[in-house]
Parts: sequence; structure tokens; C-alpha cells
Amino acid sequence: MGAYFARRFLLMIPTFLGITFMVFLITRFVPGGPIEQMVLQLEQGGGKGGETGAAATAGAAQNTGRGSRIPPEVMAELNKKFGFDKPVPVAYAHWLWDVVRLDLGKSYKYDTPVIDLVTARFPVSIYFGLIGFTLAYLVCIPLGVMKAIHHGSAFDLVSSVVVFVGYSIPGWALGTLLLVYFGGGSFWNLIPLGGFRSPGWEQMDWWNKITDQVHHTIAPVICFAIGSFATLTVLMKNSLMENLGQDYVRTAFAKGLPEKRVIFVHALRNSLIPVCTGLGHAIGIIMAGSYLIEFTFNINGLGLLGYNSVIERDYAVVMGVLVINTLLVLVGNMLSDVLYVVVDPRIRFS
Amino acid sequence: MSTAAKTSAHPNSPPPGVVVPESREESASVLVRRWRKFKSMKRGWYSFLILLSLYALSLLNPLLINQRALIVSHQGELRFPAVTEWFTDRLYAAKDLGQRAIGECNYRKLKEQYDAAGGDDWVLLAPYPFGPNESLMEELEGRPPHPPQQGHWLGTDDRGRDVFARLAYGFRISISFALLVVFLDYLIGVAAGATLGFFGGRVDFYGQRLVEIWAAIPFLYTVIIIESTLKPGLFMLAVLLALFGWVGISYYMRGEFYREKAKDYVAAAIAQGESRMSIMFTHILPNSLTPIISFAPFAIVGSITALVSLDFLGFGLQPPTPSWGELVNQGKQNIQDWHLVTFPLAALFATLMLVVFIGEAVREAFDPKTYSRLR
Amino acid sequence: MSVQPAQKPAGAPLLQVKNLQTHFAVGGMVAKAVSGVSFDLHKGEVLGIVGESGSGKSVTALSLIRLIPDPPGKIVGGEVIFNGQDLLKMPIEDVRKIRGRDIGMIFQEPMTSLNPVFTIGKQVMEPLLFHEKLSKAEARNRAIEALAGVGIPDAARRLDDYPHQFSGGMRQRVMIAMMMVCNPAILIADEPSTALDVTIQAQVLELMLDLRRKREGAAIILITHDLAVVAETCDRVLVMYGGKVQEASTVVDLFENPMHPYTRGLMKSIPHAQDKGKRLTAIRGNVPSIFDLPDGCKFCTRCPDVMDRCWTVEPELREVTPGHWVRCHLTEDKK
Repeated sequence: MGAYFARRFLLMIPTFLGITFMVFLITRFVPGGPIEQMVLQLEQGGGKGGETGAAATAGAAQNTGRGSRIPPEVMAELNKKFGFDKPVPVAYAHWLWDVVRLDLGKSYKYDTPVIDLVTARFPVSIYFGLIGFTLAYLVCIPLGVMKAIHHGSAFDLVSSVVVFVGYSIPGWALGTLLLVYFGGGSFWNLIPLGGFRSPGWEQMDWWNKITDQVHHTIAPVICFAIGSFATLTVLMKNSLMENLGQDYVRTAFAKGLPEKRVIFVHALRNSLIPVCTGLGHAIGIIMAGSYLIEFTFNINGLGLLGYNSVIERDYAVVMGVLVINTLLVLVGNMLSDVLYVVVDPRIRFS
Repeated sequence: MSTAAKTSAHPNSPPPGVVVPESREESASVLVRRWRKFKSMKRGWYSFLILLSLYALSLLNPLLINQRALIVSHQGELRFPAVTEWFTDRLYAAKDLGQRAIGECNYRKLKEQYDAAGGDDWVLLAPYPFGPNESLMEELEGRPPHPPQQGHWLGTDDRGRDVFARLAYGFRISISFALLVVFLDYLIGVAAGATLGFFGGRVDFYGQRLVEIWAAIPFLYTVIIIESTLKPGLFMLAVLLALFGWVGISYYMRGEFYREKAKDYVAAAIAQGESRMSIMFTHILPNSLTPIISFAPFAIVGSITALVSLDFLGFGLQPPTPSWGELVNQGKQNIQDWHLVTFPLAALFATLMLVVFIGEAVREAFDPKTYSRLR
Repeated sequence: MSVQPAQKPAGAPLLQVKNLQTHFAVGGMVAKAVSGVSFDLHKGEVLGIVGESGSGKSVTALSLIRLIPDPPGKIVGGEVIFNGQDLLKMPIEDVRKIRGRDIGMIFQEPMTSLNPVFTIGKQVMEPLLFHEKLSKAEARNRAIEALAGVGIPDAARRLDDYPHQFSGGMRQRVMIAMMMVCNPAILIADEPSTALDVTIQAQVLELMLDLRRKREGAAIILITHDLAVVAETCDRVLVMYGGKVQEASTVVDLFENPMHPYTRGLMKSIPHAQDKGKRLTAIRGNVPSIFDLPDGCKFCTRCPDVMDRCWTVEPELREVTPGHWVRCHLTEDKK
């Protein structure tokens, strides 16, 4: 088994290289190049989404040389960091060597090393993502099991409607609804408008610290959970139903086992395999969700950092967040493989 | 030898007057039978009809929801501003139609003017005479976004544009966009999966590694990065999303091709000397394609959600394209204006719900699973 | 009227099946998979049930201990009397106490019939823990004994192995050990050797027949499509077609004097050494769809001796010679 994991781990390296190189290429081949874009945007004072796209691309080439409001040392740093003056493979090699040494460059906006920014924001994203996902699993697994056992009953039909509704509302969409109706707009004032904690949290006593934290946690966590609610419930239900029709279940009944044991020991153990292995991939889903939900609730996590850095054209941070996100997805995929081996003996021994 | 002859004889024929039930395995093709099954599922079928008619209707949006008049009769001359603008982008200046204003004609005012004048001139406005990109700031009291009110039941957005008009045009764009993305997804996914599955061996091994790498790219963030620099139009954005959306389909197709390849009819075709390409396209592809049709509605749900999410983040279609996500984004910034969040999300929710109902029925028809239970 | 042997053995039959009917509802149509099957099973006998696939033989077997997947199947009528009780009317909880303890069942698919995520030991011990309330240690010893009994080498160590670490033949042995570990009075075997290599088939059948040495009076119902297997192992045989018993007699009688055209057809399709070089005869046509069985004799669409009334009037199952029952118009005049 050790050899298997070693091989899996080694396979991560070419995958990581492949992904970062691909993304590196994408950012390099964008017309005008990111640096030119960045300079132009800053010169025009444009934030996001202006109608300047076409003009910017056309005029980018000429604009590069002119004096910009980006300090020259920042320009030089960026050019050195991403090697825009060098051929792509050389530039990539340089950049990769820095990444390996955990040097992700420096944010020109915050004037701090990117790695510090990322490590500071990372726990916030994980906090919401993990609680949201745990909540989803805690609700979806029992619900899916109940739906499978009582397939076709009134309970199944009613909960199916809930599942359909959940499937048709993206988490962030529910988030904006919660903000509008419960965030103190024209209706109730039950939840804060967002953020990780209230300002001045550090000065609160322990009780207020906890209630403030919970107060800020509820809405984002619900949104995180609803994102996987429908798929997870349906996956659990179908997985169990499919297993209940398997030959080994017939064998278990033929042995004279009670129904409870057949369902909850024999069939459930098998049907949890796909649900368990999904846990690893959840990391990727948490990250994807964090861009939208942290944006919705204005939570200073990794997602919002990435989003803002794109808006601000803080290129070092953009690439830094991308590297971390990619690494997290890879670690998640690996975790899924590990879980697969742990829960399925057929894989463990072959 | 007589027994051998009997072996190949036809099955017994009944005496006259005896009706033997015919086999119900009708000659109708698989596709026709599945279509009938789909039609028999009321919820999915009606959802399909509703969505189809709404979409067909929305294709005629310029004739239904438009600030430009359908017909203007001015000094005995007929003009068709809505149609003209639709097909040629040409606008009529106010002064050409006798309106005292600069720039494009305001047809609602023109109608009032003509009616007041009582002459032979007349204006036929669109049934809903407001456009998706038309600012109504001058006509409505107060600052935008205007709350729902008479004449504008869904209110206006933060630039004074009619929310209903934007929703209606946003619907057309969302569905068209989703159909385009799903089509491209299938094109790439089927091609990639079929190639890997059909050739197998090394092509498959290295191809699979590449697909794995591609699949591990953080999709949303990468799209945002590319979006922020490239600022693509609708078609390019669809291509961009499709580039990240085909992986699931390719996995499935690859599996189907591996399975189908092993079947006898393929061996028979090879034995008859058919070329690889011909085998792939005439034999395997039709057989493996039917099951993945049942994914399509769910892929559409995914694409609509992706577009609305990107628009919400400000990295979707370029402004001033009417968009649901952009309205919600406005609503998030003005949380007193509940209508900016509620109506677009209601539209999104209703649309996705219809597609999900269709999807459930399609899956039931194409990939029916009967779960049996022992006790 | 229940199919019985000519000389009734002493004592009541072990199992009495009366007018069993099991239907399947698929896509708005009803398939009468089993329509009115009756037979007795006596102590110590091996009863074969033969037929092509789709004849209803497996559904008959599964119906006996109510292992019919519902939906789409349903046992709609009949009685299965065991120990004076009707298994079909009993609460299902009570049937579960009989399954695995008094009536064991072995299935055709050794590769999928064992739970892939539990060890062999755990699966073989389960009936002992539930039916005999043994302690884990006792159950473990009995399981080792049972596995060794079916010829699994090094049984004590292999107890902790998972099913996928066994070959198909070995898995079927595990299955047999599991179903015989409580020494049931009846063992139902549904094509137990079909999926296995020919050499292993015989061994597996032999292991099942061993049951009669372990428990006195134990009986076996062997479902198969293979008349050769029947000839070697069974005492009595039912031939099924279209969800009904078409012919029933002792094995010797059946092979010496097959009366139903279907049975004769089956026999002609077995290769015999003396017929070397001759063509084998297959029954012409295919088994009719179970949804579209003819009104009259179920075999009329394929019968070489079909008569006009066969299409409209279904023949009764009649005892033509003592202990030899046939459902055919041709034999009606003989008695």
C-alpha cells in the first residue's frame, strides 16, 4: 500500500507542473499581456469591467513604454518575477524555482509577501468551507438514506421537491436573498451584512466573541452547504438504492438477516464508498464556492483575495492564489484516492 | 435429416381464428420509443413545452419588448423602427419623425405627440414599450433604482433601465448561451472521449494524463483571470466555458467506446474490412451517444448557473448586455432594493426548475433505472 | 393437484407448494412468471427443476422464501407449507428466521453474491450469530469448520480474506458453506454450477449433496437448465415451461419415457456419445416473450406435434402413469 501512495504522490508532481505551466501559458498568450493590461488599466483609472476592452487591447503595445503610475521599481520587480523579458520556458523555470522555495512574490498593493497574505486568509476560507461541508454531509447522508429506504413514499416525494429547489438555487444566490431579506435592508435585520467577524472583535469578552462569530457564520455556511445539498443527497440515495438491488443483498436476506442489518450494515457500507471518496474532491468545490460566497458576504478569505487581486491587477497575488488553489485541488484528489483505498478493500489488495 | 429440416422451419402458425398476441417489441426505433416515454411524463413534458414556447417567444423579443415602435406612419410613409434596428442596427433620428429632440426618437413620446396632434400620423408601439438598455431616468421620478410601480411592475435597475425588459432579454441570452456551451461541451467531450476510447493503448494512457491535468485546473478562477484580460464576447465566453466543461463527457464517452468496441458487431464490421473511421462514426458513435443525451439538461443547468455566477462577479458578458447576474450584483450593493435581487433570482430559479424537471423526465426515458427492493 | 411421487414416502412432505403464482409488472404489462406451480418436496430427496431461461424456474425457487424483488415482482397467490405453516402468509420477520437456518439458498452468480467489503469470515459467521446466537469465538470456529468442509485450504487464515481474493469456484464454495453452516432442512440451489468451469461444477454439486450426510432427511431443490446435471444428481424432476410445470416424474422414468414434446425436445438437444456424427436437434423457435404467452398450451408456438385445440385450450397436468405427470393434450387419451 505504501508503494501505491508513493506512486500517487509522485504522479502529483507532473500534474502540478502541467497545470501551472498551462496557466502560465494562458496568462502569457493573452493579447497585450497582463503587465501591459495592468499598466493601461491603472493609467485610465479603470476598475473592473469598463467598456475599454477592445481599445485597451489595440493600444496596449504602444502604451507599455510610456511612464505609468505604477512605480518603476514595481514594474521592474514584476518583469523580473514573471520574466516577461525572457522566453517562456526560461521564465517558467525561474518562476517555478521561486514557487518551490515558497517565494510567491510580493503584492504591490499590500506591499507584503504573497505567501503571508495567503496563509493569513487561508484559515478563513477553510473555516466556512469546512463547517458548510460538514453540515451538508450531516444533513444529506441521513436524508439520502431515508429517501432510499422510503423510496416512493410521501416523505420521499416531498423531500425530492426540496432537493429540486436546492438544485435550482446556487449558494451565492441564496446568499444575496438572505442579505436582502435578513440583512437589515428593507425587511428584517437578523444577520450581519458579511465579514468574518465584527470590527473590534479582539476587544470583546469571550461570550460576545463566540456569539459574534456564530452570527457571522450562519448565513455563509448555509450557502456553502446548499451548494452540495442536492447532488450529495441524490448521490447518497441512488447509491444506496442501487446497492439494495445487488446480488449480495439478496444473499444477505437469504441468510435470514433482519432487514435493518441488511440495509444499515451490508448495503450502507457499500453505498458510502462513492460518498466518502467525494470528500477529497470537496476541497476543490469549497475553493470554487469560496470565490462566490466570500464575494457575496464580503469575507476576507482566499477567494475574495483572489477576486480582488484580479480586479486590482495585483499579478503576483493572482498567480499566488492560483498556485495555492491548484495545490489544494491536487491534495484533495489525492485524498480521494487515499479514501478510496481505505474504504474499498477491492482496491486495497489489488 | 428430416429433423434438421424441421429445425430451420418457421415457428408454428396458429389455425385460422386464433389470435396470438404479437410481440410488443415494436419496430419503432429506440429513439422514438424514448421520445414517447418522455412525452408520457407529464411534469417533464409540460416543462419542456413551457420552456420551449418561452424561448421561442423570447426570440421575438425585439417585437414584443422594445422602446422602438413596431410601425410609425409619418407623413404617409410607413417605417418599422424595431425591425430596422433588429436587422440593420439603423436608428431613426427624432427629427426625421417630427419629434423635437436630439438623437434617437423616443417613440412613446412620439405617440403622445401624434395622438395629441390628431393628424394622420400614428405609432404602433411594442406591447411592452421599454427596452433593456434604455434609461428611464428622465421619465421616472426619484433616483434609480426605482421600486416596482405602475407601468414598471418589476422596477428599474441602478441606471434606470426597466428590470422586466432586462430579465426578458437576459432569458434569451441565458438559454442561447447555455445551448451553445452544451453543444461545444459535447463536441469536444465526444471527440476527445471517442479518440481515447477507440484507440486505447498509449494514446489513451497519455491522453488520460493530459485530461487529468486539465481537469485539475481551478476552473472558476482561471476563467475570471482570462476574462479580466481578454474581455470576450458571448461566443468566446461560451468557448471558454466549454474548454473547461467537456471533461465529464469525455470520461463517459471513453468508457462507452471501450465497452462498445468489445461487442460483436464491431468485430463483425472489422472482419468485413470496414475502415476505422467508418466503424467509429457509423457503428459505435450512434450506440454510445444515446445514453449521454440524458446528461444534456443538467449540463444546461450548469451552464446557465455558470453564466449567471460570472455575471454576478462582474466577469461575464460585457456591459450593457442584459444579464440576470449583473442585476443581482446591483442588488447586493443596494440591499434596500429587494426587487433587484428577488426578480432575477426568481427568473433564474423558475428557469432552472423547468430544466431540472425536463432533465428528470429525459433521464427516466433514456436511462430508466428500476430499483428493486427485497425484504 | 400437487405433483407427488408414485409411492409416498413415510411422513408428511417437508415442503408443500400449492398453486404458486408470481407476477412481474414491467412498464404497464404483467408477466406471469410463475402461474400455478404445485409440488411436494419429501425428506431426503433431490428435486430438480429444469427449463430454459425464462421458464419461471428461478422465480419459483425465489418465491419459496419470498425473495422476490418488489417492485416489480409480487407473489399473488398460492401456499408454501413448511412445518405446518404457510410461508407466504407469515409475517416477513418470521420468514427471516427460517431463511438461512431451515432453508438455505445458493445463487448462480458467485462473483457478485458475496458482499465485497466484508471478510469471508464475517459473512459465514453471520447466520450463526443471528440464528444460533453463538458467541463470536464459537461462530468463528464453526465458520472455519464449514469452510474447511467445502474444501477451502487453510480455512482459518482465509477467514480474514475478502471475496475478491477468491476465484469463482472458491466463492461458490464459500457460498455453500455459508448456506449450510446452520445445517438447513432444505437447500435451494439456483444454477449453482452454471457460471463455473466444468471440472469445478461437479465438485460444487458434490458438496451440496454432502448436506444429506450432515443432516438426516435434508432435501435439495436443484434448479438447472442442464438435463445432464439432473440425470446425475436428482431423484425427481419437474420440467417447467411458460411459468408452469409441464412434466414431472422420477428421473429414471423421465429419461426412459419422456412424454411431453418439450421434454423430448430438451433431451434431443443433449449430445450423446452414440450419436456421434449426427446433427443435434434444437427446439425450433425461441421462448415466447413472457408478456405474450399463448392462451392455450404454452408450448404450442414451438411444438412439433401441435394440434388445433392446443392453441385455445390449455391442457391439465395429469398423472399419466403412476408418479408421472404430464401437461399435454396428446397424453390425455392415454389414461
